[in-house]
Amino acid sequence: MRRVSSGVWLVLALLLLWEVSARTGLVDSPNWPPLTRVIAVLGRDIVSGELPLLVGSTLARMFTGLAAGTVAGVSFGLLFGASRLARLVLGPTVELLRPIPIPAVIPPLVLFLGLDNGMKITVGAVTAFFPVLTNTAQGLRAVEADQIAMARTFGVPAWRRLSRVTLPAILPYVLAGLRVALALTLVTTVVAEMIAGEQGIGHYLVLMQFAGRAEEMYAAVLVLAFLGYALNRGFVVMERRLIGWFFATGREG
Amino acid sequence: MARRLLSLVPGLAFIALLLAGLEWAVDAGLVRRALMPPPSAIWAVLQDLGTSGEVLGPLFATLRLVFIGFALGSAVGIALGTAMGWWSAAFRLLEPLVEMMRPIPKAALVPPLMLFLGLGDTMKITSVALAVTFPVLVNTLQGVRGVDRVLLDSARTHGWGTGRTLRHVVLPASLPFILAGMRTSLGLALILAVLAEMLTGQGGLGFLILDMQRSFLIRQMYAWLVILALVGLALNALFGWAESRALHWQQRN
Amino acid sequence: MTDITRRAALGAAIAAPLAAPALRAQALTKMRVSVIPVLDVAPLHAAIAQGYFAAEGIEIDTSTTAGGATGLPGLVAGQFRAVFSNGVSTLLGVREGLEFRFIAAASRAMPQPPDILAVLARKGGGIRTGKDLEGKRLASNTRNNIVWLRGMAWVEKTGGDWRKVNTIEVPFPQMADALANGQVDACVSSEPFVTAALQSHGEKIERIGWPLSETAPGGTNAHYVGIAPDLAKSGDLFDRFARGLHKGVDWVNERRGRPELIELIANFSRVPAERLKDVALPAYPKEITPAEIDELVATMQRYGLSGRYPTGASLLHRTAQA
Repeated sequence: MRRVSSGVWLVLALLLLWEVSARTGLVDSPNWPPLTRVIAVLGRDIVSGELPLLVGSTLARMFTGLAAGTVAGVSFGLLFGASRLARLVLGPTVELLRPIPIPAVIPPLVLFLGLDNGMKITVGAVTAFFPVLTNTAQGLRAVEADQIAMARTFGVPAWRRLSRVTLPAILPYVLAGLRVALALTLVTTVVAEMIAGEQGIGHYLVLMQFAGRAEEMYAAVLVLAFLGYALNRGFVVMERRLIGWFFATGREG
Repeated sequence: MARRLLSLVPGLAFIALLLAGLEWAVDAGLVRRALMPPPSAIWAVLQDLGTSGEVLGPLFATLRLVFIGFALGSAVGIALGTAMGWWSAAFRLLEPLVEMMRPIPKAALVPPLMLFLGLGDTMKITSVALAVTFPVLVNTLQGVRGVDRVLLDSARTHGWGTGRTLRHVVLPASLPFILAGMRTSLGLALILAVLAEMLTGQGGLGFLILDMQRSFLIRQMYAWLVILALVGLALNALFGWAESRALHWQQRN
Repeated sequence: MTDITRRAALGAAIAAPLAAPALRAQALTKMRVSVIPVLDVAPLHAAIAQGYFAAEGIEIDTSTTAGGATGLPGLVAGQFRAVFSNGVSTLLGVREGLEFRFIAAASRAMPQPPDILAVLARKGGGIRTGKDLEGKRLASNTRNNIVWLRGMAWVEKTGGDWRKVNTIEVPFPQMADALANGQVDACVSSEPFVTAALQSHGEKIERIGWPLSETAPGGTNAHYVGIAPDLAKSGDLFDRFARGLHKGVDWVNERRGRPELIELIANFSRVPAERLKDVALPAYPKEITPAEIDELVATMQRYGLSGRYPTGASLLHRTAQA
């Protein structure tokens, strides 16, 4: 084993404390089940297919929202980068909307879109939109000077310049925005599921809290923790594949 | 300055146009009044809330939650991040725990926290602080580890102790990173504050927005939403101001 | 639709065919209904499980919303054809100009205790009446709903001023802990959480009142709600819905206190069956009277939810009347 020992021991000790405190009645509450019981429930619901289905539905909503928000964010970012007028006219509206905490837009959205996928995907899309927009615009400013100007002098036509020069050049920035958006979208999709409707792992978490089933509730928390971790890991791998050159040539920062 | 103000004109004009369009669409019956009242009706509610002073209680409740949670979470994040960046023993001890906790969407922790800490301020502040801690911690860690070795060596040759080196060399040098983390966290703090208020159903702007929707007091719902948006805007501006002051201070040191 | 309810619906569909001889080859009309996993909706689930809706040519797709937020906004947004809702929330929507109409009754208070709502307090905490609660904290699951309203009525009935009581929103499952730990001084809770709370925290908390049967014996509680244009357009569908539901009401009323009913409730509420054995059930009526809606409106106006409301009679769809 390499140098991980002390930290791993700490984690194990805390988990053991959880188990012991629940078993010995140190914390005596039906809301504090032993870890082993939570894991047993987790195993049972994974095997039964209930949790995988819930996670699948949450992920499907999240990625649909993320995709929609990314497309919109990149489009607006390009527009803002290309046109000063667009920036002047639309900029203040964007700045006004950006700081609204997402959970607060759920109640009005529910009135228009109801409690189902439409509302939750919109929540995810709105979440993803802002970081992607900011990073796209920022990337555009950073790369504009060199590559794009050069392409322009070589007489590359506009749409080709966009697809062959601009988009690849700003990809690292878009991905950086996407990475922020990914984590946030998971949070807000789950929040939307918690507040309204009856879908996905977020709703399951609250339903189990309400039914007084603490084991299932903690199992859902563990699933979400794993999901957050796996998504981030998966994203890093994808990023390395897509833009390895960016890191290899040391252009970061 | 005048130039800057002038550049705001097209954007503000656009917002005014949007509001006027909305007012007209509601009056013309294109949008259902029960779902989207005209902006003038929302403005009337806002005036009422303002003149009666009714706005103050919920506003302060939410601000208090955000400020305390943000301060607490930032302090913990900076302290742990510095410790982990400076002492490798601390890093080894805490890194696995941090890596385990970090990807959990903090919103998922609100229900279990409600079980443990009840529904009062402790629980809400804890949720906000938890969401704030990790981005700050990770950025601080990155900043502390990236401090120029030359600076550290010169501090050592001057015979500076750990405390003095941390305060006068390491912290100023990693300040931009810490501030970037805090900026991310500020948005998260507001999200978690609103969510915690919605789920616990007490005080605050988040609760009111949901409560007004449930009671079908739609004008009031939009009015509180506008107030919350302004809070988000003001907090961002305040942070931006504090950030530039802090960076000035860093440059002078 | 959630996988949980879909599974429940699937289970019901598999278990039901024998009970549904009228199941024809023709396609069933799908109807999406929003519910909350509470005791009041037992007849709907019974009617699904027994195939009563299928016999009427309807396939009910239940959509279960946890917690206080009701499905009424989903009704407005056109996602549901019918919504289970407490009377207060429905009437608040009506007050703001939304065209909600009552399709059928869901539950009514029993004429005398035991009833589905109870006021709980800490043993030895000195709180026995509404008078004692002045300046104290009373938990309700949501403000401005039927639980809150009957709770306020109980405070006044037992000598207190409801304006002086601080209402705090606490989800039903957390009430027992909040009460035992002193975060609130009393709570208005609902079955099955009352029974669960008394089982798990019986040495610390006790029941001090029955807000429904003490303030509004036999009063109306919750209903199935539709929206006027849809009711006008698809009257026949709602007639069939009400017929199926009424058979479910009969099924449930014939099985009060029997294990089949407990099992049914455990299935849709996900509350373990052993915790449901001692719960009090509401009355499950079929019809709604204009007078009971008017009573509810009058009570709402008394406790701060003032405004102009239409008459009870004008809010009843034909299926709700006897």
